[in-house]
Formats: sequence, C-alpha cells, structure tokens
Amino acid sequence: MQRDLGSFPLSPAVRVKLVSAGFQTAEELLEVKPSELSKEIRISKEEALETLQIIRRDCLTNIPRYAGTSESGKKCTALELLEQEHTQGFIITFCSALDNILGGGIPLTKTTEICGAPGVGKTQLCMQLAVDVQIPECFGGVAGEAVFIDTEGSFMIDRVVDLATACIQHLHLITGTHMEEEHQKALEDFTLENILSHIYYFRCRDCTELLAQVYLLPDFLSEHSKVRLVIVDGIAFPFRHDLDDLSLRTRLLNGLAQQMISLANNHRLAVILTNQMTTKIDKNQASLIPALGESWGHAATIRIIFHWDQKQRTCVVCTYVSSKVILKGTLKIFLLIFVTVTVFEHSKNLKFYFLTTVFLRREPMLVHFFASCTLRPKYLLKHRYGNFFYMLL
Amino acid sequence: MDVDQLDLNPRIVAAVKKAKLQSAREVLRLSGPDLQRLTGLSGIDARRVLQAASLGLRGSGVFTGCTPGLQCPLKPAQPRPRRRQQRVRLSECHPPAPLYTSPRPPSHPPSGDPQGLFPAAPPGTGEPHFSEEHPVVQCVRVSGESSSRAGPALQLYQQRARFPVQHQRLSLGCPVLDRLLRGGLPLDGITELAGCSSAGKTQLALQLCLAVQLPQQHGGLEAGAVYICTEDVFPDRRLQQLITHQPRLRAGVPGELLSKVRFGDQIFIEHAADVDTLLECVSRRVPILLARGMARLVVLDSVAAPFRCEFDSQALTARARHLQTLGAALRHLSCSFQSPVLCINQVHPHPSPLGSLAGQSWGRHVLCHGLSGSGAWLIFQVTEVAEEQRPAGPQGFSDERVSPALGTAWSNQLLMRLTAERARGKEEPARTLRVVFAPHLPPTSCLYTIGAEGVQGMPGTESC
Repeated sequence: MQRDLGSFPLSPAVRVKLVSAGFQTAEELLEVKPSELSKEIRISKEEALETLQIIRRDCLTNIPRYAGTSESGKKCTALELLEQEHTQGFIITFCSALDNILGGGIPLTKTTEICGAPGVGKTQLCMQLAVDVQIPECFGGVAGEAVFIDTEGSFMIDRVVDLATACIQHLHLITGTHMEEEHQKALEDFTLENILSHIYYFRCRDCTELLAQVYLLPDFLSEHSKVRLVIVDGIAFPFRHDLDDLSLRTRLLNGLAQQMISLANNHRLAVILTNQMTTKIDKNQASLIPALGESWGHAATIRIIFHWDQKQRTCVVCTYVSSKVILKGTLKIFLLIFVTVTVFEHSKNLKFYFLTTVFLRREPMLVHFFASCTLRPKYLLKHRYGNFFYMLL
Repeated sequence: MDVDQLDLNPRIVAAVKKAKLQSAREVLRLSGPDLQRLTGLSGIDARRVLQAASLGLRGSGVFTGCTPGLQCPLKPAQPRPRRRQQRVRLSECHPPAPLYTSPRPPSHPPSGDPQGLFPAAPPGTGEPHFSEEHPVVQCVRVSGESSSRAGPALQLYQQRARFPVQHQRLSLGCPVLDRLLRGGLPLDGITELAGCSSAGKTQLALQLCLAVQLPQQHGGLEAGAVYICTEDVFPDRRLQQLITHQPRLRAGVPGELLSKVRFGDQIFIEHAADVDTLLECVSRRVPILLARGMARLVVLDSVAAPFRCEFDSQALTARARHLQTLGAALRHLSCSFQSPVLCINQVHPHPSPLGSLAGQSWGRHVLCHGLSGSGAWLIFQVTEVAEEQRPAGPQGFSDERVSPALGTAWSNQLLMRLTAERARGKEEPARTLRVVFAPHLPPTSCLYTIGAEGVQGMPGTESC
C-alpha cells in the first residue's frame, strides 16, 4: 500500500519522528515489529504498538477478528439453517458407496474424523479429497482450495500428482461424451499446476507447532477465502507422545475441537481430522478403538472408522446426524410397529407374534412395548400359556 | 522464542511473565482458559497472547522446515529484512561450540550444493543465508506469503532442490529394488523391515549402510550410517565381504569413486541391550553424529528385541508408552536431519484358537524361539497371550499366521512397512520383498536373491 503516512490519524510527534527516520509510505511500516520501531525512532513500545495497529487496520482489508464479531451477533432461524444445510455442497470422494452412506460426500461446515489402523488408507483419502475439493462446480464439486496440515510427514507430492492427473483424466472422459461449452471452459483451468497451487501445505512436528498453526488459521483463511477444506493428517501423533498430563491433553484437544468447529462454521468449510487406533484390553479381550480417549469421540460431528474385513477395506460411519437418515429410520420403525400391531389384532394368533418378532431382529423391544400397549390382555389370558406370554411382554 | 519478543502490549507481557511463562512454547502449551487463570488476563487478551505466540513460532508463511526453539542443536537465524538493508541477523545463531569440531570439513560450498541443503533463496524475500558452519540442517522460513505467488504444493513439486524430503530417496543399491520403492527409502519417516529369521533383513541393512556413503548422483547421501544393534554382535566379516564386492554390485558407479570412499570408517556401531539404553542412545548420542553431518542413516537392528524380553503381558501399557517415546524420538531425528531411519522388526505368530493352554504355550515357545533369529535366548516368556487379537488386513506374509511384532502401538509410528519373506522347502529359496503400506506406493512385491555382493532383485518378478 503506497499510502502516505500523513493520511493516517497518527499523533504529530510520532509522525515527525517517522518522517525524520525516513519512513514515507505505509508499506515500509507493515513489515516492522513494534520493538524494532520503538528502538529506531525512539518512542515507547506502547506508542509503537498503537501506531502499527492504526496503520495495519487501515491497510489490511481482512484484519484478525476475535470473538464478538458480526457472526455471533446475527440472528438466525431454524428454517434458515435448514435451507442452508440443504443448499450446501458436499466434497465427493469418488467412491460411490462412501458418498452414499455420507449422504453425498464430506459435508461442508462440519468436522469429520477418519480413524483406522495404519495402512488402511486415511492419508490416501485425505490427499484424494484435497484434489476433489477443487473440482469445478459444473461437475458437481465445490471449486474450493485446500489446506493440508501434516504432522506425520506422510504427504508425498508424487502421489498427489498421480491423484490429480487421474482426476483430470476422469473429468476429460466425462466432457468427452457431453461436449458442453461450460464444461470445456472449466476444464481448461483444471490443470495439474492449478490443482497443486491450490493446496496449501503446512508441516508441524509436535503439538505446540500444531496448536500454533491452528491459532493462525483464521487469519490465513481470511486471506484465502476460497479454501473449502482443512485437513489435519495425524491429530493423534503429536498429542500422544508429548503430553504426560492427560487432563491437559483433554483441555488442549477440546480447545482445538472448538476452534475447528468455529472455523468450519465461520468460513463454510469442511474440516477433516485423522486419528489412529489403539488397543483396548477388556477382560482379556483386545479390541481396536480410536485413540485420544472418550472425550475426543464427541469432538467431531461425523466419525468414519476404516477397518479390514478379510482382505477388503470397509468403513463404518458412526455418530452421524443427518435429517435424511433419521427420517428414514424413524419411518421404518413406525411402519414395522403398525404392521405388527395390525397383524396381531386381526389374526389374534400368538404364533404370528413370535414369528414377526423373530424377523424384526433389530426392533424387538419397541415392538414388544407397542404390542403390549395395544394387545388386549383378555384373549391372552384365555390362551393356555397366556400368562407366560404376557409376562414376557 | 522469548515472550519479550512478541508483538504485545507491555502490560500483557508483564502479566505473562508474572505467571512464570518465559517462552512462546510454554505459552502455547496452555489452553485459553488455563492461560486466563494463570495470568489473570481477560479472554480477548489471552487470545491475543496465543495469537502472538503462534505468529512468533510459525512466522507468517508456509513451509517452516525447522522452527526455532525446537531441540535442534543449531538454531537458525530469523529473517528480519531491515528497511533499506537486506541484512540478516546472524546474532541469534548459536552454533554448539563443543559439538561442532568435525574432523571432516563440509564437502560442498554453499553455492553449488549437490544435496540441496542450502536452498537457493529467491531474491528479495529476506531468507536466511547460513554460513558454512551449519551445513546440515536446512532451515527455511518463507516470510510473508502473498496470494499472488504460486501456491505451496506446486512449489513442493517444482522446486526439487529446495525440498529434498519430497523428491530425494536413498537408493538400495539395486535398480530392481529401487524401482519397487520408486527410488528408495524416503528421507523423512521411519521405514520398517519385518521378517522371519534368515530372510535377509540384516543383509539389506548392511547394503544400505554402504549405499548411503556414495554421492547423490548415485543415490546416496554422502555421509555415514549409525547401526544400533540390540541383539547380536555386528556382522563385521560380512560387512568386509560386502565392501570387497561393492564394484560388482554397483556396476554403474565408476571404480575410482568407489575406491576413494572409505566405507568401513563411516559406519558407527552402537550396542543397546535394553530399552533404557536404547532410548538414551537415540535421544543423546545419535543426534550428535547426525548433527555433525557424519551420518545420515540410522539402522536399528532389531527394534523388537529389547521390548519383547522386558515386558510381559501385564505391562503392555508401559511397553506402548516406551514404544511411542522411541518412535517419536526416531521421527524427530529423521525430520530434523532429513535422514532415513530403518527399523528391523521380528514377527510373531498368532495364538491358535484351539488346543490346550499348556500345549499352546509350549508350542508357541518353540515356534517363537525358532523365529527369534538368535540362539542365545534361554528365557523367553510367551508374551503374546493378552496381546491384540489377530490383526485384520494383509500383514505382508503369505503365511497368514504370522504378523510383525509389537502391535498397533509400533505400527502407528511408521511411515512405511516392508516385509522380507523366505519361502522354505524349495531348492532355490525364493525370497520376496513386499511393500505392505506406504503413502506413495501400491502394495507390490518382487523377488530377490542374496549373493556374495549383497541383495539383488530379480528383474521381471514384480507383482501386485
């Protein structure tokens, strides 16, 4: 910014000292630290800090904002939130089965946690998503950029180049059959260099660096407003070996989770965190559970657990709240109960009752409950074993 | 970085120092509410402190290769382009005076470094130029990332000299095996080589110790190797044999170059029989060698031995803790000094579901003894009773009853895992080297043989 210092609302004494020290424009002051400035022009540190704050506030379009910004003061109705959720995009993973169970892909404005044993493909999925987030909108993507924070050193640029090349070829195949002008134009921009230039890579080696990077993310995201995906590959490693105090670890992780959620909401992006698996020994039975403890399990909105089933990789989606999924589930239960009760009422045959409950493996308790409410005890008592069956209910 | 140097109001700095927090790292170790409680500052001020500490630690750009304040014996200078003077302050460089008395002078001038250790700084960014005293550690900070510049992953791809971690690999000495690994071992991260006894793991490790000493154009790193033995004595005679046959193995390397390199002198051997000695060796003695540039490969043969004899089934959590500490120390070394770390691991069989307990434990004892690879084990506790259930997924062995030892706690620390297997019962033992998992490799395998000159892959035997 080549703005003259005279145009800023500075105190005259400070202005005179700045001019005599040779500072002409605001640009020269942007890179200077307050301690250096105070030493150079011989003013107190507080004055130097205030001066620089005035200059930076006027120069930079997006300044760091702390809580108490316009976002939290806005009122929002639930209907508006519902509409927002329906219109938000998803980041497709190019695996149709995974996209189906997630309801379209990785959702924006939510945090997703991916857990799995080593070698199952968490880093591969993260690298894939860093490429997929850049797919143009006419192909169903979100046309965004990605931030990749690597704590394990597993980001290999050769592999990302392979994935990007494959994605470009796939999109070319699609346009080959459709030949629409909009698609062709979008594809011209979707080149390897462009894809790589929109993945911002950070390498953090321990939990302090990771925490520092996450504190700096809001400023970075304000400068790069097109970022739609933040990936932290390996959130478990820095926190597991470095911190002996488990309660401190829980507090730091909670703080991190809160920041991620607020980033996801404020900047409308998806946050992906990768977790390790650890062995839990319970009465001589060993099982694999996600690391970092129970309290971390509540941090992410969606948790995807990858595991091996024979030689096949499978994944389970846990703790996912989606309006579509819940609706389907509830409808199913009501239908089942309605059918069962109708059957009993009309057939008055207990054999049917037990046959139906055998088939309804998953909802027997609910069926029992509703059936006991509606079935009249009268004809149960008439039956030879009526008392027995009624007790079972 | 000291709290005084942060961009904060002196009132806030005073409050922070009153709470006995001296450096930015200590500040960042506390959560927001903790900081408020300790310093008595308001929420907004506490956030400002954390923000300023983060800025001080990470700078404002991407790719901090080595951050100041990390336990790196060489602290880099921080770039502060002064107005009208592009002079970098070297006053904050603290060369460790007693350590750096290397007998071998750095073999490359800063301008034409073959190893890419001195990044060619683009003009006008104020990146630090290091003096010749710090040849090893590449400490790069890019200050002030503007959106008009090319994005970071693109720079990782295009500026190969500046990011050797992404592009350079340590060759194995055989072109077939290098093709399997797409160049060789990566420079940052732990590579594990697991296998039954007499599969050829130690042979491959010795071959790597020789290959690392060649110059970069032949796939080496122009430095020595540290070999940490935990179970057997170092196979010195075999090493001498390999050295004598090097010209036959490395046919592509000119003979006079091979004769100039003093292979035996640059391999540093350490012995560590138990866990504590091993941890001390890895955290104290090995970094000195790596910091001086005398070694750029760490081989740990084998990682399972100290852990399997010291920890019984009740102490699995203690074992997991030690494994995590060891893994973290090795990763830290690998990252700070851009040196590959190779850990050799054993295998353990899964407990069979049927059979009596007594028969099971005896059978397992015998089986484990045979698989341990050493004849001097008199006491061998069957430690795997309460270990994990049979791990799912391909373990890398054609015999599905075995898998690499040490469980999930260790495999979480690895970057990539290779397995060496020897199929018994045939006249020509077919040995297979398999990639189990790696971030940049598909699960492939190839056959190899072991001769007098070393390990050589058999061309045309690569398979998925």
